[in-house]
Amino acid sequence: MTTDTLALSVQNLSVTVRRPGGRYPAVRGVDFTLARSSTLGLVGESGSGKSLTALAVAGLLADNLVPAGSARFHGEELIGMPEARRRALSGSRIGFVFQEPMSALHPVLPIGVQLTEGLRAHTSLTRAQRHGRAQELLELVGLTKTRDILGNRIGQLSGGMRQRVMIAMAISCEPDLLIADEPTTALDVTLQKQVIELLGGLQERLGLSLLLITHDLGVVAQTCENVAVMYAGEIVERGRTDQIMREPGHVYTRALLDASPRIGDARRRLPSIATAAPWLRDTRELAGASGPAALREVSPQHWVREQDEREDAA
Amino acid sequence: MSALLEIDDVVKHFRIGPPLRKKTFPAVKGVSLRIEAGTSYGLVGESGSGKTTVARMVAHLTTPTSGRIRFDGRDVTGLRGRRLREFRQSVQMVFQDPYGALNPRMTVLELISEPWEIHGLHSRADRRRRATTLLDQVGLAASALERKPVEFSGGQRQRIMIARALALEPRLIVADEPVSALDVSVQAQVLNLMKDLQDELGLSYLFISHDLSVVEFVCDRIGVMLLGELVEEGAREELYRSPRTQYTRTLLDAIPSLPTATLAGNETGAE
Repeated sequence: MTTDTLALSVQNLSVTVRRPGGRYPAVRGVDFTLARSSTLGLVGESGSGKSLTALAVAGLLADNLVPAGSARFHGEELIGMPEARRRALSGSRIGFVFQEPMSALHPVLPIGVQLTEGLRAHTSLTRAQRHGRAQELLELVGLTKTRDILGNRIGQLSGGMRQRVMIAMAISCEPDLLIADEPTTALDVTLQKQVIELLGGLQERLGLSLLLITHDLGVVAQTCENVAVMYAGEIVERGRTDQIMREPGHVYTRALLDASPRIGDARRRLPSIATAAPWLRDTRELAGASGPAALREVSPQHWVREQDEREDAA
Repeated sequence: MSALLEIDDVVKHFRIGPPLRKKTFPAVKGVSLRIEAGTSYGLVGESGSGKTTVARMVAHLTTPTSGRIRFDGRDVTGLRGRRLREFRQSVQMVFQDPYGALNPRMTVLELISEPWEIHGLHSRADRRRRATTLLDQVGLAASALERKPVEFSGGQRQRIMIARALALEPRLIVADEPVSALDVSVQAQVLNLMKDLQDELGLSYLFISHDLSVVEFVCDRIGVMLLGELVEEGAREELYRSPRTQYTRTLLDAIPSLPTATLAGNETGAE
């Protein structure tokens, strides 16, 4: 695949945590690509590095987290990009949806002010045009009484409405790439279903490329063509979602699939994951000189990390 | 079989709005259910359906506006003083957020011993021994005793919370979303633990969850709440196989499903 068909191309990306006692890599050797107008799910449990990977791409890492390697957005290198250029991209061509609207949005500023912030920064629209655009955006994400909502504070809306507002904000400048970090985790299942459908619909209608970060394989199965599974800061498997769901190649992917109870399954006990993610801080030597194991292509476009004996035994 | 817990038409109204203006919100509008000894009852519903309020009334953390709650055949609705303290020994609660529910300044020994202190049970030396046994039951080493919650992962903290809930040897555990803050692998371990403890100790659970697949795994009987009312109730197999209400069907349909692959554990777990 040539680079001009790629919205995002990540190569050997790492994120190193600097702390008073030393440093350790929280993400390392991460490779994946996201084709234009396609969807990729980045899946893993707490501490797997999925959010750090997304934050590194979005340039939102805290000061003690140092990214290295490469992440190209339509060919342009994002890692180490000058701040001014980054600001020009963020919010305009790269949109971000956070997990918790309550903490990501300002509690006191009216929604209209927050929703038009990107438009003020990145477009030359007049105040009236921005207001009109804001109403369109709210309609686009399925909200009604949009005039009222623009004057509301975030606390006056329900959880589902808040997440819709955040999605509206993320797509306000018609970005090419939308990064959504656990956008449905805080929602009830029925709302989750609506938000998943909304994201899928927007992705198709606007031709967005979507990078979805989640711990929920079910959500990935509903939303993403491709999936990359992260474990302990590395990708252990990636490929087409349907294929990986049917024939997981890595023990960890398999364990993740098996660990969730499902409706109608008759199991008395759930298999526990022997390979539960280590605290990277405690296993720094694990991440020492020997970099991550290579990924092997087990079938076309299906990559699985070489497994050491310990993992095979698990 | 006589019921361990019987809730009869409980109603809870919360005062809302500015003080003195008597505006109320009906969070629970007349719920009745019963839990047999040694069984698990799952209460599912979305945010705001009133399931947590029901749980809190059962644990006597809030008082019903009207209705009756009977525990082991005795009316416990208006209990106060010594009687209430006695009742509290039989019903313990496990909360959703193990980060928020454990005092960060207390050691695990202090956390587990606190219920004994409140109820004036056991000597100092005895407490340490008993706490060690409890930790063992929930799969933690005795070395945890002197450590503080910050040193543990989410799953370990939930184990500590369960050990603390078991300290008074309760007969009913009210668990309010006990696994929803946990990763699936850790969730699996905590769910297995809760089932094991039930088999070992003959516990009953009132298990509150928004997750129908988790509830199916743990519970014998399930009630579905919507806007303060119990809209459907039934035995596990019956409710999942043939839901009677549209709302239950909607909830079941909303679960993002995984393509069916063969599940590990099916072969070993079916015995």
